[in-house]
Amino acid sequence: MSDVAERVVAERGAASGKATSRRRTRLLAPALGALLLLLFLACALFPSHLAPYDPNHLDYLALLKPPSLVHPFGTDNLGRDMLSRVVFAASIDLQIAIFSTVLPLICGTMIGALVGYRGGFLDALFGRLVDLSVTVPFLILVIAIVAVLGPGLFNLYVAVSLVGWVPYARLVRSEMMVQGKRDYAAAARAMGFGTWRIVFRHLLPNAITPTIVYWMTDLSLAVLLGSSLGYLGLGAQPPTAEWGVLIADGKNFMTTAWWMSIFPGAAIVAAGLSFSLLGDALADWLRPK
Amino acid sequence: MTRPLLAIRDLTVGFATDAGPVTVVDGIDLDIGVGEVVGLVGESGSGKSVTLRAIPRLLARNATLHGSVAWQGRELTDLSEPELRLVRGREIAMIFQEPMAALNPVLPIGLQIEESLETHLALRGRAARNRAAELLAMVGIADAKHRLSAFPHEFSGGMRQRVMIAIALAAGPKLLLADEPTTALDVTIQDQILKLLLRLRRELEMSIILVTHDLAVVARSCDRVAVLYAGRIMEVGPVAEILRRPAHAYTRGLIGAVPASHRPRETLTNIPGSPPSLLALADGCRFAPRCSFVEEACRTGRLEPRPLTSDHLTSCLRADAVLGASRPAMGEPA
Amino acid sequence: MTDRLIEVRGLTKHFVRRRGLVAALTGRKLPIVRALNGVDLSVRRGETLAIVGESGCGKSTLARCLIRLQEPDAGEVLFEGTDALALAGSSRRDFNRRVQMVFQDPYGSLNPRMTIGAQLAEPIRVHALRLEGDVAERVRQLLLMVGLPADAAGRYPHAFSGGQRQRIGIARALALEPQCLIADEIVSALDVSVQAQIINLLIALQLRLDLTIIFVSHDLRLVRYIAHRVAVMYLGRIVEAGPTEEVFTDPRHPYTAALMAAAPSLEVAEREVTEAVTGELPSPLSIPPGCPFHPRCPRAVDRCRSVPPPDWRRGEHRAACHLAGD
Repeated sequence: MSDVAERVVAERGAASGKATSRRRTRLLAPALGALLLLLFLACALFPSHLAPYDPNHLDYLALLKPPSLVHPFGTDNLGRDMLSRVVFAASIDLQIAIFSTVLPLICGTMIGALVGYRGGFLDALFGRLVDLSVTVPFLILVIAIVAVLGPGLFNLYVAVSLVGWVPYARLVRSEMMVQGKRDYAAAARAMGFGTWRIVFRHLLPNAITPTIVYWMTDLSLAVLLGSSLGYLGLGAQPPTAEWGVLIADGKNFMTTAWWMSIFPGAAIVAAGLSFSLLGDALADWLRPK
Repeated sequence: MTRPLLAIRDLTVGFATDAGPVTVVDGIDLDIGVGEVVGLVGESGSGKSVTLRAIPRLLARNATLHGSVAWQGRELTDLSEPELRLVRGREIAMIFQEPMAALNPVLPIGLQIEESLETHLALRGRAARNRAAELLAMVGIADAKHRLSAFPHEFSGGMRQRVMIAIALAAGPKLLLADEPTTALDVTIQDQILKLLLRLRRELEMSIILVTHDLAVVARSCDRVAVLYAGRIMEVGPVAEILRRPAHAYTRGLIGAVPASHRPRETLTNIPGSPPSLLALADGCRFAPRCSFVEEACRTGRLEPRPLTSDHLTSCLRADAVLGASRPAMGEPA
Repeated sequence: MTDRLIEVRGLTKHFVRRRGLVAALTGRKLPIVRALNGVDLSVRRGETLAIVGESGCGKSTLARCLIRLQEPDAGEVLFEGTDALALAGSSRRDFNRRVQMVFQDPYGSLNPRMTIGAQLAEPIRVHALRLEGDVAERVRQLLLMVGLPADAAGRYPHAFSGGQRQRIGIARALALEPQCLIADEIVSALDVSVQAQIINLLIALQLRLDLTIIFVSHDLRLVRYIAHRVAVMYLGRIVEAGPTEEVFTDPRHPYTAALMAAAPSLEVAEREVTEAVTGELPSPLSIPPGCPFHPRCPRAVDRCRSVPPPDWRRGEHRAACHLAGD
């Protein structure tokens, strides 16, 4: 009430030492993230335009060749160009990232919204479900489900969706409870609006921010998960180029042909980094003023 | 006045923000005498809290401070941080608006009081504990000895405020800076705390600077008052005189905006607009855009407070018109 | 009487903390917050009734029960003679239209992600108060009515100051063309000069729209200024009620007298040293027996400690005190 303006000014000021240089550095991170993501997307959508060779073309004359101008990422033990394989794998990994996260995002959000607004018995039930899923490590659970259903990308998506909706639901639920206590929610109830309208038109747009930011993190985690399972032979199956599979292909050649595993690994890192940086920028941008 | 305890001259405080440098306090002069209670009154953006915090230099890192703050003759702005720490708490103490935020929630209050005693008076052990109990009793907390081991959350808002006052008074400071100490409290508790402060002022011969947005709090507890607006002093002088005969259009407006008990049905003064943004200040009087007495002369130059009488200063160019305005001010028959 | 818009009888609301596992096992008694304990009240058409009290007195809970944001545990709320608590479905929606509320927090009472225009238009559309083509015009009208420019409709709440947001809150409440407006501490979070603007606006709107206003506040000065009748609450009960001037000049309950003595006024009168009332604010978790005010009352006698006080009445003025008649 008193000197709110001053305090805001002072606090905002305290966070930044020199105004202009801070602004420049603040744009650096999301710019990098956006750049990487664009690169990633380009590889995923137009692989044939960007890859210099056919990823499955076997060149027996160029086995295990180190990185050079002809093969920037070197070749693997079957003479396939690594750069092309990494580029083509981008589309698979992007697919994995999206499909393993979008379904949990949607289902988790719906469930979390319902539970968070209604509370009561549903909330107690939900709590027990969360407790259950927290006791078992995520990766183990996913592997267990894949082991039952059999390896392959589709089963991967099923497994991840079965388990992965829980963190989304938790986030949405707690945000819903916070937003539900605010006066604008009370005003909506006082004006006789129905539950559906209050939850989806009023509360959810305000409650969804942390969930969206989490989704960005989840995207990078999904890439990691897909690659891990691919490495274990439980995700994408060879000869499909997928970064994890590529790393697995190169694992026996680590000392002699390091480029077989390192470049796909770097691609995973770059993809994860891009989501993470963009996620931070998104969080800043979405934060209520 | 004989040499003042605290003499502030041309105090200016600016902050470096993303939107550019902002001057929150712009050239304030103020004297505080021994045993005086001075009110700093103003609305959002007036600079009253920042002025208060500038005295013991408790400002954010991006703040720049200019001007002079002379405490008992010593220039505080020249002191180094370690030297200043000897002054803070021991000679000049501060209490805040939100006691729950100012008290450490995981330490019993006895320890928090004893910490102050140890730092400033080198008291330890039983001596410190006894003194802490005395302090709690002095601020009106019953069963003080047993309450020493209690935690802040076990107290109500008013009692936490008393605890904060006890901690502040531990070293026997001569000046107490109170930043909206009663704003967050209910009416009856506010009354208790204000009366406590006045009693302590008498018993300990302590001066108090009381920052508030509520003119009525000032009326009830202060000897003198400085009215701030957008970082400048509009008017300063004895409380009774300013409330009965305000010599600044803003003060008059503020008084009129509060329903007064002796003329309950009179229309409240409607000061249009809101306090200006500190980023875009025009020349002249900062209140001019909202003032009903405004003239051309008010919009140019830099207006400094001029003495009307020996202790009543105003920066209003239209002071005569304000004083002569037909609507009765405080204390006069309607 | 037909001029009684709202009648409240014996309204009671207790909040019970949910039973944790440990409590269920040890059989420990649950803490109960007795927010409202038998409130009787009536509000006349076209008047401003103020409900005054400090933290924990239950005034906000009362306000929320009146528009059914909270459901009371016992008692009646009659709106124009009909039992408002029993309404359901479309008749409940109808009731929502007639009584609206403006909230305290200017920063939380507006949806940060909707434009002002959308927030004002929504209630109009949901209750079908205007044809679709007339909605925009009505939104413009509402904005002008509360002193805001028409182009505010396209902006978001964060572009406005606290005072302006309260105006928007009032406009939103008025969008449903209610008969009664409940103002729950609407100016407490605003600067003094802005408070005056909003209060003046409220009075002007009451005259223009023939509104009944229930003004919940802790600020006695504003209450005396704006209200025709006042009800003083303490620990979930109304301890005194009546025409404003009468209650202020001749308070019959010691708490009312204490509130008035404690409230700072602009008069630089004698600086009294004695506190208006001793002791801490009571908690609705443990209400003293007999008269709930007796632990802090300067005039308490033995009777006060054990016997609940009767209702003293003189005309419109009533007080719940054993000593009211003296």
